[in-house]
Amino acid sequence: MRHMNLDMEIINIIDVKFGNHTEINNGILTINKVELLDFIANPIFESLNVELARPGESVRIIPVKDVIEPRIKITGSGGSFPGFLDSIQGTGEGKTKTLRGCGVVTTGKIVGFQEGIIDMSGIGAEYCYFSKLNNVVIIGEVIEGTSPAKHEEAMRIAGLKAAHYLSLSTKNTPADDIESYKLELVEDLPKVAIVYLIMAQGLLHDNYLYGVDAKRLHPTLVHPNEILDSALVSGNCVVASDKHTTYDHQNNPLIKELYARHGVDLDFKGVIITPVYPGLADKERCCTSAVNISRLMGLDAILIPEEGGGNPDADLMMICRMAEQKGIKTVMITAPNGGEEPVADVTTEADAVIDVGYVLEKVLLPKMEKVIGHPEQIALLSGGSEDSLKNDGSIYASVAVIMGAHNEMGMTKLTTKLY
Amino acid sequence: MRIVHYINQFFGQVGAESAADYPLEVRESVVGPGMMFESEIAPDAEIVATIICGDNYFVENMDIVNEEIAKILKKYRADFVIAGPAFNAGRYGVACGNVCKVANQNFGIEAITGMYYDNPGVSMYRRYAYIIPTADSARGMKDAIIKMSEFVKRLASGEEIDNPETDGYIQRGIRKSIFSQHTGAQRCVNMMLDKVNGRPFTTELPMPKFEKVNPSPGIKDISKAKIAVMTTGGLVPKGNPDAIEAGFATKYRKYSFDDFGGLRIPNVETIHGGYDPIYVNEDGNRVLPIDALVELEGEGAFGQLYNYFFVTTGNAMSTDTASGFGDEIAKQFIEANVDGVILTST
Repeated sequence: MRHMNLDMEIINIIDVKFGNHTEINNGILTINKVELLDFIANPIFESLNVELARPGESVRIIPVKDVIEPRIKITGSGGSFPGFLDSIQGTGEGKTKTLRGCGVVTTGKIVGFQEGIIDMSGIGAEYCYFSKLNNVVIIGEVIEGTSPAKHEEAMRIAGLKAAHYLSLSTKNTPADDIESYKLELVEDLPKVAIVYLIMAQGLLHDNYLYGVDAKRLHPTLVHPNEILDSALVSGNCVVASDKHTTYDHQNNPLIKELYARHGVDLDFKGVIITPVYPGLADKERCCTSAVNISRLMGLDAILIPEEGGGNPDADLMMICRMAEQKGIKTVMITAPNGGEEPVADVTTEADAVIDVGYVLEKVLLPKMEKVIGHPEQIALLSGGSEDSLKNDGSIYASVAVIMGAHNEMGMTKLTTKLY
Repeated sequence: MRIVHYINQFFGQVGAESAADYPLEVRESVVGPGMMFESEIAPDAEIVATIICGDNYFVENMDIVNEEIAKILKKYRADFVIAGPAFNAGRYGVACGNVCKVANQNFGIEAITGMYYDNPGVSMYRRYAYIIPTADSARGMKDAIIKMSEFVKRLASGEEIDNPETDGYIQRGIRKSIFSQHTGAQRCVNMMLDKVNGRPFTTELPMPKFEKVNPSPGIKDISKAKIAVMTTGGLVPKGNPDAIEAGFATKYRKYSFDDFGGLRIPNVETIHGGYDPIYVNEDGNRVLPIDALVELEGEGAFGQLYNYFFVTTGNAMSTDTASGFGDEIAKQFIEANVDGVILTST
């Protein structure tokens, strides 16, 4: 079989609770708390706990590091997160089970300054698709003196392990639904790929492809199914609203949209993973290479979603310019950071840009009855300030503090208008 | 709806250019173009006071005038301000724009004025007012008043003002988030298909045109030059006494050696949200290289080091905020006779 066919078996999770056995019954995920905590234990943690946060509850989670959808291969290795907890072979094909409607959320005292908020109700929830998930929240506090890099790594692995542990419970659960992902051969339609920018800036701005730090990558072509099968993991502490969590990679809306139109309007040719480095020489290397791969593939158009903003604007514009000059059409996705000067770099070829919401807009998040984590750390978040946390428990800050609010893969319907 | 109307000495029938020094005056009556406004906007709104000021007096005494305008708007409980129209008159345009700014910034009052596109008041004040485009001279008075009055009536009725193009005002440059009918991913693929198939499409984010900054000429005699160093790396005295933000900073600060704990700057930390702080917290010279500059100063590599350090957080700062900070900081450098500045980023 030459083609990579992936069947995503969906188990819809409608509620989550603690109990004696970790299992799924009628869409209710029951978790044995002790067993879960044992599974993710690591001596680096001074304390480790787990709490639940359901849609509509008066609960705030702060500061959130990552969100992960529990997924497991049920063909081949039977693991999760290739390159971290699993081998690579078989990723992107065969069968995978997923707990749709469930998220593993990692929190605990801040690592970097750029972690975020998930409110399970109120106006914050309107900006945040993670608020619609039944969240299993892992709260990890590391022993004093742990470096931020070790801290981030420990939380990242704890999240992946927790997701894997929960996915083990799906073994005997039949799927509610099956989504099939295969790229049938198509003729005479525009050939399209995603130039998939991932932050690779170091100092807590990192992503991992098959467990490999993106700082060690050169642009590389992958099958979209590999992304859906958890090949990309976030270790990225950039602004909360426009970074991509592991969940965002697993549920990438652009990949899904291109699949939906494949064979109808277009020919979806693949995903060109392109690391975003901070320095100019690396940017030129990666952008040139991403465009070279596009030319080699004979593409007619590329979609360029940004991750973050500011420095990566340079990569976005460089790829746009190089591609357009070689006759490849481009559409970019970004979140404007400014009124009339919404980006930090421009190129005249950038005539097709999707705008996913205003990063500088402010929001008043009402007090929640319960806070998981550390509310005072809003002072340290990008988009927050020392005045953000009010005496009544409400928070006044930029929408930028809300996880996923300006997702640059185009997850939401948010956009902006200039008046 | 209670309206305060602003006009200059000419339209206030005090006199022409010779009366441009006429000080600010308020009358509890309707004057000049106010008459026609009044008949157009009645009964939805009424002009409760008219402010008249000479164009020169206004621009030469702006601080005093602004205070007086604020007092008048408060005294007459203005719901709304109309200024001008100023057509292509430069000083009058600046005065009208400034009245609108006081109303908008001090009281959150909506303000409307009318100007010709090229009036310098447009680019300076469009953020603070609905500016209705007018002809370049008072020959267009009737048309301007009708258009401005229609706009006032729409605002008075609580109607939401939408697009600059369809609603007939000059774009204010205020960005707001709204919900679209489709997700960003759907819109992206649709736009790509339009573009690749040669169909018309409209970008959602027109790219700005940045002002090109020409570098200053080189320093002629470095041995006598006063050199400053500044950073967007978020280096602050320990405890961040001025609460500079980790990202989207709204302020910059000037710190001295004393603030930083002496020549080796031991009393520092970074609050920048865009990088792992561990290395800069170990040694602040890694982002603000004062140690090297003190050494070079000692060796005579340049004249002297400016002993104050401007600091902000570059993380997620918009370019217009940054250029605003830059203008202010540059003024202070010039006052301090600084010849050259080293900027360090992250």
